Amino acid sequence: MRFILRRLTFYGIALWAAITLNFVLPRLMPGSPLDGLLLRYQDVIRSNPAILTQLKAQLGAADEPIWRAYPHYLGDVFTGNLGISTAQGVPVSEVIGNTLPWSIFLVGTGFLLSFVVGTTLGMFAAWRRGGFTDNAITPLLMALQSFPAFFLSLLAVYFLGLKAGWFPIQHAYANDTEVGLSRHFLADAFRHAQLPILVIVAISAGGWLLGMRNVMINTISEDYITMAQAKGLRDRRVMTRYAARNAILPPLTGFAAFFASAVGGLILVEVVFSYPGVGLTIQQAALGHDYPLVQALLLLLAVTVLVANLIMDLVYAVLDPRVRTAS
Amino acid sequence: MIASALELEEPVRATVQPLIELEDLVVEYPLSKGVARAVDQVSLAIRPGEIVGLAGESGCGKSTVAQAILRVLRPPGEITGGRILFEGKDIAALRPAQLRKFRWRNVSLVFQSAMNSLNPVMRVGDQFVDMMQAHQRVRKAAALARAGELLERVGIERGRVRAYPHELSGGMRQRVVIAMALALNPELLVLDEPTTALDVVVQREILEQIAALKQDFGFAVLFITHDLSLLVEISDRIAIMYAGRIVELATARELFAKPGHPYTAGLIASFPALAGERVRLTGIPGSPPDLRNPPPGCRFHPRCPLMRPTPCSTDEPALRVVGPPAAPKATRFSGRASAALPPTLPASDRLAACHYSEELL
Amino acid sequence: MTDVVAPEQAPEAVAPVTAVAGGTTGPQRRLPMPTFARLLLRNPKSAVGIGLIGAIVLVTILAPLLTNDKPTEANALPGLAPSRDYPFGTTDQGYNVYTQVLYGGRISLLVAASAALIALAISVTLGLLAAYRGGIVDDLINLLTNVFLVIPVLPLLIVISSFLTQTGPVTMALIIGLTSWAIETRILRGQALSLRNQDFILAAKVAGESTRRIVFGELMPNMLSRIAAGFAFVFVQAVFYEAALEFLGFGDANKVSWGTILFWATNNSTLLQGEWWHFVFPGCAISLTILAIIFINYGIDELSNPRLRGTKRRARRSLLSGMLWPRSAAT
Repeated sequence: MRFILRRLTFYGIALWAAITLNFVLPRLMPGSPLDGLLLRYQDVIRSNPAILTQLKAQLGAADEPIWRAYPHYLGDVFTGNLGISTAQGVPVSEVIGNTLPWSIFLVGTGFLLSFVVGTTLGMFAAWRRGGFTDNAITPLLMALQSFPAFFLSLLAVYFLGLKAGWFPIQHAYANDTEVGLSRHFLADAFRHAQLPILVIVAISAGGWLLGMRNVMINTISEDYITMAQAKGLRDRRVMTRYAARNAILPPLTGFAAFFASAVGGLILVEVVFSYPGVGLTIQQAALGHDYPLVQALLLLLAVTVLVANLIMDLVYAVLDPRVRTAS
Repeated sequence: MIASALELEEPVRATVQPLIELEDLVVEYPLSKGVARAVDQVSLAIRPGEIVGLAGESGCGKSTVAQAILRVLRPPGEITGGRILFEGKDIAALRPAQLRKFRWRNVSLVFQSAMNSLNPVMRVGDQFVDMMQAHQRVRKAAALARAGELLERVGIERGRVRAYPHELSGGMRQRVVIAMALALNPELLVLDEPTTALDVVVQREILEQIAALKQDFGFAVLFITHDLSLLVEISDRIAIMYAGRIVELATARELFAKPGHPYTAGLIASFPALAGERVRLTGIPGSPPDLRNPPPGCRFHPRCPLMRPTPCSTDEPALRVVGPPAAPKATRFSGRASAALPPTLPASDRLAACHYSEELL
Repeated sequence: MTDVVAPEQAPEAVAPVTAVAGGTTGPQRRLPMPTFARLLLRNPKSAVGIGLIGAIVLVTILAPLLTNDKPTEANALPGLAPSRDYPFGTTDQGYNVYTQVLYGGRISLLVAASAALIALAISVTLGLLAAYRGGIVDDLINLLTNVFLVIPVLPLLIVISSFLTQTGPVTMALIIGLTSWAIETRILRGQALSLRNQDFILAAKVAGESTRRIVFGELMPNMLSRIAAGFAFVFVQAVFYEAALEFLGFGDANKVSWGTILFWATNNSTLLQGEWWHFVFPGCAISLTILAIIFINYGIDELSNPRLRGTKRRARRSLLSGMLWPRSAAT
């Protein structure tokens, strides 16, 4: 399909751009971050001199000219050699391996849930304009949207976690729980994820709701909806199979920008909850000037956004037959 | 009629009773600056097997009548007065489940633009299926087969049942919609500007298609259009609407031979004859009135060439009998369907709403 | 597709509404600025928003009149709950939270406004240029915009901050402005596209006016209302990113702004000590600002799409009766 090929080409270019940005960024920055690093990580470097060479290469202080450093860098990225974390002394890939699953769990569940809840509520809000959903829930979620992710997380942690004691307030699992595939661990992990996921749903569902509602309001006035009713179809069927099925398409096209900012939200939520995912890690790494880790994480996050968009494009192609036959 | 795998109920047809009757129907749209009466006390009866044309300018309320019959008025429109009687039953009083059964099974509607009447993300066949399954217990395969038959009936290859609407041309889409409208064998088919968006050649084909189908199925037709010329050949009777009211109702022949209302005369004069001398085309000056605030007296009086200050601007003329009853002459389109229908339609009164109708006739 | 312009959601969970799909807004009558401003004030939603943001700005300007303390002087007893003397309480270091929120607003709003201006300038230039020139210029700008759309902004900001030795307000405004222009560029490009083919542009082109003159002298003035709406959107994003960066610890912790107050609130575990006022009030300040802009954007939405407007009472009744029956029976 032409459509998919075009999208793949774009993602390829975007991937290249992200990688190159990663390469170029440290070289653009004023001052020399290397000196501060050398001072700070003296011990680590002394114990593992390879780190120094790596740092120099990454930060552009090495003796290689750019036109040789760049391909070298590209090679490293594609072989998975992302360097060694200066703060933790272990390979970056290992750090990512430990933290990525937690983030995927949080984001996957949280945003999927907010999508389902948001669009369903939006569908009802539009179908019954002036009804309960429209008058009560819509403004509520609208107001919730104005709370930045970190503020909402703080509120949740304080009032629901600390004060009310309904949820655990930090980390992914209790300190004394053994990591492993035991039921106890899974249950504990699930409990610890509830509040962060709740926060994520609270921030994002409103956006999906409004998007869906507004498009649905326009869709409802289309002729094929009137025709569907005239055919004697049940109300529910018209609302879902005719109206919502069409109305969901435009919001999906905006997914690109949405997911990129969703990643930002994830970072904030993880930081407040001390949730050991990539969000918390990138913050700590950046504060500690752990450049190899920071850069690798940026790349990872960018790739994640690209992958999510690719998946969304495929979903869109499945849902909208017009795209498939358009040349 | 086509033999099919489905069992459709045969409705009881009364030979004398009108199939559908609008009694002083009023439809209003509350708008930001007042209430617009799109349909203002319209009374119209359609007999079984009859083709009634409804003509008028854009915005005169014709489509609203169509939507009111099926009760699919777009909010904020609502029926605020009068009755719609289908075979004696008041449509406005139907409960939701009964209304759903009534829709499409007894009366179906072909919308103005078929392009927009079809769900863009559903295959054409599926749109037949869900309609059929909403009215009777039928398996999907059987319903799809029936859909294929119907498509062939209107001249579309059966395999197109799997197509999406955007994969069909405009004319084909129109045919699909017509096929869909006939799927349940309704007694009344309402066509709302079915050919406006098509070129003249396709227009002709569609009209002939409708006529042929009527021969076979025997439904009545309410043909709504702004193009009076279309109604000449196809209708038994024609109703002219202006500003929400019917201003003339007569057999097609009579109407064209001698219009009884200046508006009708103006409409007829607006389109050229294919043959004959060259005449200067006269349109109707001015524009349709604001339905929130129609002119006092006769609604047409600001644009009427026959207007005199009294009584035109003070007394609203009632729709009254202005001529002897006449029977619609059988034209090549109004054929007979089944033995249950009368061989010819009975005579009906000639009505007009103008103070000077007698002078015109 | 649809004609909904909805850049109103808070940035970190921006709903995937059609605002991003360039060109979907379709041809609209472009309102001249004064009419637009008047309509905006009449629409209840945007009027509330304008009033709110006006009040916030006013309060930060009048800070010295509203409080006697200075934000950087710790004169009070630490850890006091809100009271008459200290409406927002005091921090664990003895700062007056009320004073800090009032003065902090200045930096927060200024940084956000500057960042928004920078981002908007980029968006207008790129968006209009792409729409007007078309062809390869359009393709390149489009590609650039799409790439930036896909790179997550907050992580990028974090990485940039980590390379810089210090991020004071000026630097922050700069980096935020340079990274958050993508969404608005798409929207403006779409709008400009629908204007491009109009006669007055063609006339200017034929008269030999330079591209720069046409873009800034003809195209832009006709899009002022949309650009104003765009500023509101980018501003809200900037408020968020600035607060987020400072909260995460990448701002200048010695300057007082809403984000840094939140940073200190969480850094010193005042949360665990139950001093909720330290974070609730600055958080509310940020939220109110964002809410105000969201309201303004809703108003703009309703102006451009009448179907979204509230229903009149009688119509509402008919809709409500449709609630009791399923919609099929409503009329």
